[in-house]
Amino acid sequence: MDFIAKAVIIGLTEQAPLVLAAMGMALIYNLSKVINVAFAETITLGAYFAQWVNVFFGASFYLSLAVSGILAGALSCATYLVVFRTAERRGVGAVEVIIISLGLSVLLRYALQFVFGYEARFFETPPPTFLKLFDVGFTSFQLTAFILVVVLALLFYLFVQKTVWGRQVRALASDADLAKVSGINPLLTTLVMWFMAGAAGGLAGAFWGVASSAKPGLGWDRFLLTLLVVLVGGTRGLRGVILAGMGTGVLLSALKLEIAPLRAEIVLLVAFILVLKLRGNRFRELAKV
Amino acid sequence: MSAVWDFLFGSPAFLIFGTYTLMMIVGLGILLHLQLGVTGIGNFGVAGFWGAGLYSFGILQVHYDVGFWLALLAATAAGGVLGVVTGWVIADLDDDGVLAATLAVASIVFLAIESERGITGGRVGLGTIDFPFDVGERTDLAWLAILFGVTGVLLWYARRVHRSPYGRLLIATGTNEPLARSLRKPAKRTKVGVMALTSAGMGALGGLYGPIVHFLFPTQLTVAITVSVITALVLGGQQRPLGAFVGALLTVGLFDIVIKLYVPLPRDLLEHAFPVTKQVIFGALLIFVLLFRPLGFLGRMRRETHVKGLTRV
Repeated sequence: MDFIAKAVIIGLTEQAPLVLAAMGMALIYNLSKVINVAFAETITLGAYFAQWVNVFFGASFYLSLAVSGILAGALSCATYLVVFRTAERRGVGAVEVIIISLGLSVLLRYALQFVFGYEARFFETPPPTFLKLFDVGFTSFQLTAFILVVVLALLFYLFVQKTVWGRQVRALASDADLAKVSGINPLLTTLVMWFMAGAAGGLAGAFWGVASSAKPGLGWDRFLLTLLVVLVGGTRGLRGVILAGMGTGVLLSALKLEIAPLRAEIVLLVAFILVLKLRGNRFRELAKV
Repeated sequence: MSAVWDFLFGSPAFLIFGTYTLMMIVGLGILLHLQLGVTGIGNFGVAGFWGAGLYSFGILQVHYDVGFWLALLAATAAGGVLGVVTGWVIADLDDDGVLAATLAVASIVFLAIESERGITGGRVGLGTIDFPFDVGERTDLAWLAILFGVTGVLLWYARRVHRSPYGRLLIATGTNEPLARSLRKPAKRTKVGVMALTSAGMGALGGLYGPIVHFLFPTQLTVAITVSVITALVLGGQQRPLGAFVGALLTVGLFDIVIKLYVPLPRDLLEHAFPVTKQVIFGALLIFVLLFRPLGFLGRMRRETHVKGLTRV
C-alpha cells in the first residue's frame, strides 16, 4: 500500500506536465494526422519564454506561465502556416511530413541557441515549502504545478468536448469535406487547434523548466515518452491520452522505486514497444473487407 | 605547386578524420536508402543500430581481448539482431508507429550504454580501441582505404538490389504494401529481412568506427548522427543508391571538410557557432528539399524513369 501511494504521489507530481504535453500533441495528431516532431521544440520554447518573462521582466511564475502559453501557441500556428500547410497543399507523403517536422525540430532547437544562448537558464522563484504525504516528500511548487496541470487538462478537455470550437475541430478531424460543406472555416478552426496544442506544449515546457531549467534539449528529451503516450492512449481520444499520461507517470515512478532510474526508463520503453506491437492493426480494415 | 599541396593536405589528420566521417555517413545513408527510399521504412533510430555495433565491438575488444574479425562479426550480429526485433515490431505499424518504435530502440541502446557502466564505461567512456594492424605513420590512411572499400561494396550491393527480383519485391512493399500483400508477396517477412540485413550493415559500420575514435562515449550516439544521415540521403535523393553519396558530399563534405579545414574561421566561432549553424542549415535543408524537391538532387528511381520512357513509346 505504502509502495503504491509513493508511486502515485511521485508519479503524478513529477510527470503531470507529460499529460499536458501529450494532450497538445494529440490535438494535432487527431486533427491533422501529423506526428509533429517539432512539438518537442514548442515544449522547449515554452520553458524559455516563461523563464525570459520571469527573469527579464521580473514577473511571477504564474504570469510568465500565461505569456509562455500564448507565445508557444502563436509559434505553433506559425509553424503550421509556414511549413505544415505548405506540405499539405503540396501533397507531401506521411513519412516525408515526419522528416520535415524532424528538420523543423532540429532547426528550432539549434536556432534558439542563437537567441537564448547555449547554457541552461534558471527561473527566479521564491523557495518552496516542503510537504509530506504518505512519507513522500514533495515541494509546494510541485503540488501547485500538479493542481494547475489538472485544471488546465480539464479545461482543454472541456474545450474540445463541449464548446463550439471543439465540436468544429472534431468535425474537421472526422470528415474535412463534410465539415467545409456545413460552413466550418477549416483554416480558422485548424489554427485554433494548433494554437491550443502549442499553448499546452508551452505550458508543459514551463512546468518542466521551472522544476529544473530551460535548456535546448528539454523538449527533445521528453518527446519520445509524449509520442508513445499519444500513440497508445490516443485511440481512446483525449480521455485515453490523459489516462495513459497519468499511468505512464505512475508506472515510471513505481519502476524507479524498485530499480535504477535508467533501467526503469528502458523497461518502460520496452513495455510501450510491446503495447504498440500488440496493438499493431494497420490492416484490420482491409482484413474485414 | 607545393603551396597548393600544403594548403590541401597541410593537416592530414583532420582531413582523414573528416573523410572517415564522410564515408561513415555515406555508408549509413546507402543502408537507409534501402530501408526508406526502397522499402518505405522510416528508420529514425539509425544512431541506435550503429551504436549497438560500435559498443559491441568496443566491449569485446576492451574487456575480452577478442580479435578484430570476431569483434566485427559480433558488431554486425548485434545490429542484425536489433534489426530483426525492430523489423518484427514495425512490420504491422503505420508510419507514426515506425517513428516511435525506431526512436525507442535508439533510446534503449543509449540508455543501456549509460546505465550499464560496469561493461560500457557509461559517461566515463570505453577504450582504448586500436587499429587491427600497424603500417607505421599511414595506418590511418590504410584504414580510410578500407572504409572506401566497404562503402564501395555497399553501393555496389544497393545498385544490384535495384536490378534484382528482390529489389522489385522491396519496391513493391514500399510503394503499395496492401497491394503487395494481396498479390501474395510476403511483405511482413520482407520488411523484417531488409531491417535485419541493413541494420547488420549499420552495426558493422559502427564496429569499423571504433578504431577511428579509439574511445567510445554515449554522446557519440546522439540524434545528430541520424539527422546527418537523413539530411544527406534526402538532399541527394532517397530513391537513388548514389543519393547518400551526393548528399553527404554536399553536407558533411562541405561542412566537416571544406569549411572546417580550408575556410579561415576564428577558433571561437568554429567551436561554438559553427556546429550550431550546421545543424540549423541541415534542418532547413530537410524542410526545403522535401517541400520543393522531394526526390532530392538525383530525382526519381532509375527504374521509374525507364518504365516511364517505355510507356511513352
